[in-house]
Amino acid sequence: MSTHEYDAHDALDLLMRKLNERDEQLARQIQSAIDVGKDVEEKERFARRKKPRVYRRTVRFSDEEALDVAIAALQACFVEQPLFVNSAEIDFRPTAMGEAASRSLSAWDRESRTLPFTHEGVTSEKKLEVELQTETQISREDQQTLRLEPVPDQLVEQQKENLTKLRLLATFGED
Amino acid sequence: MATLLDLENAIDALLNHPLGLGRYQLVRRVEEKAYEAYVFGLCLRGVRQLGVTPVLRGITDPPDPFIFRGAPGQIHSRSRNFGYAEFSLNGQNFEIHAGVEFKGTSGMTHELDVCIIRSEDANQCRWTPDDPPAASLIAGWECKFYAGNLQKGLGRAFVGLIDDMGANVRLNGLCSNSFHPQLRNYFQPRRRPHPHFRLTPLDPSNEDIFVNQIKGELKKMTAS
Repeated sequence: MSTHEYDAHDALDLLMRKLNERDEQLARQIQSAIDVGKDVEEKERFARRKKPRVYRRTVRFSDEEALDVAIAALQACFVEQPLFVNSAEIDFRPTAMGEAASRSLSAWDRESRTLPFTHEGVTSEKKLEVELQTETQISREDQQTLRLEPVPDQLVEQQKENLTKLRLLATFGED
Repeated sequence: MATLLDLENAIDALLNHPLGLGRYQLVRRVEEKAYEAYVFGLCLRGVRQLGVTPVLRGITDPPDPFIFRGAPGQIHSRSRNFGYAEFSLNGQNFEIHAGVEFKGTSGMTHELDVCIIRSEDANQCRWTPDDPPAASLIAGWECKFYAGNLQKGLGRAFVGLIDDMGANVRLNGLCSNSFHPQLRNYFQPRRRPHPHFRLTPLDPSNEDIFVNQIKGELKKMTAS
């Protein structure tokens, strides 16, 4: 007996409609990932040959598979993206803060061939930023850089739960 | 029985969450750079696991904040304080960079999203402004964040890029949070880049493979 009062087609339709209403760019991106389809192996049998000929054929995703693609894309945007920043923050933290390159060069110990070491800044949080106004860009940006801001783990866990719930509601295997 | 209203509520909960669409729309323009920062961090992790503390530096000032290039650029700059990391292992000095252009053996320049380079060459190119030569490259990775379909062309382009970087490159690979079965097969032959697919904090075992490769190769090349 079905546990859903809707089918995969209805679910995909609702998800894509809501995405289109809220963020057309993301909806287009996900739609194009769905429209790529998938490769399958087709077999062609011939009366005179023992083995069938196998060839690749690109086919459209089923509605359920398309839902999986869409939810994986949402996971990338809403869970993985924050995790990339959090992971970088953790890996940058136990590094030392050195001085500028030009100064470090003068302190370079060529004889011992080791870098002048500093413990300054080890374990402190490092501010990571991405350049928005690039060196060669003519058009002006409002901001020069954008901070990669870590987010609380608790929020990431909440989003993981939201995704799990959505996946459950978009799974029809046992219907 | 699950209703369409349940589904609609679940979609809304995801989109309206503090890490939902609102935040994503703010950071979307740097999503690829966030992925590069993550892979850069994994390189730092590998170095640290070898018992070495990497030192962060900036081109013109101390790296506070540590700035990642917004577009491929040169290792030297007069106007921007881009960050990099320096470390010393068994008497040999290296730097980790992001978004730096190299001069290939053909003379064509190539950008590497994240790379490890010999410090002496990097210093030379900052001191006497120039693009680092292919021979200075130790390791290089193409990093692609995808919330969709990974493009096959990326793999072909990266194979060509690495081919132009000479014989000193010890480690290279294509890193992505996504996966592509044909690209995985394309990278199977020896000397092709390593396929680091599904390299994401959601899959720590893939992170370990990446980090262990760096550790292994650095240990091997600096062994006395």
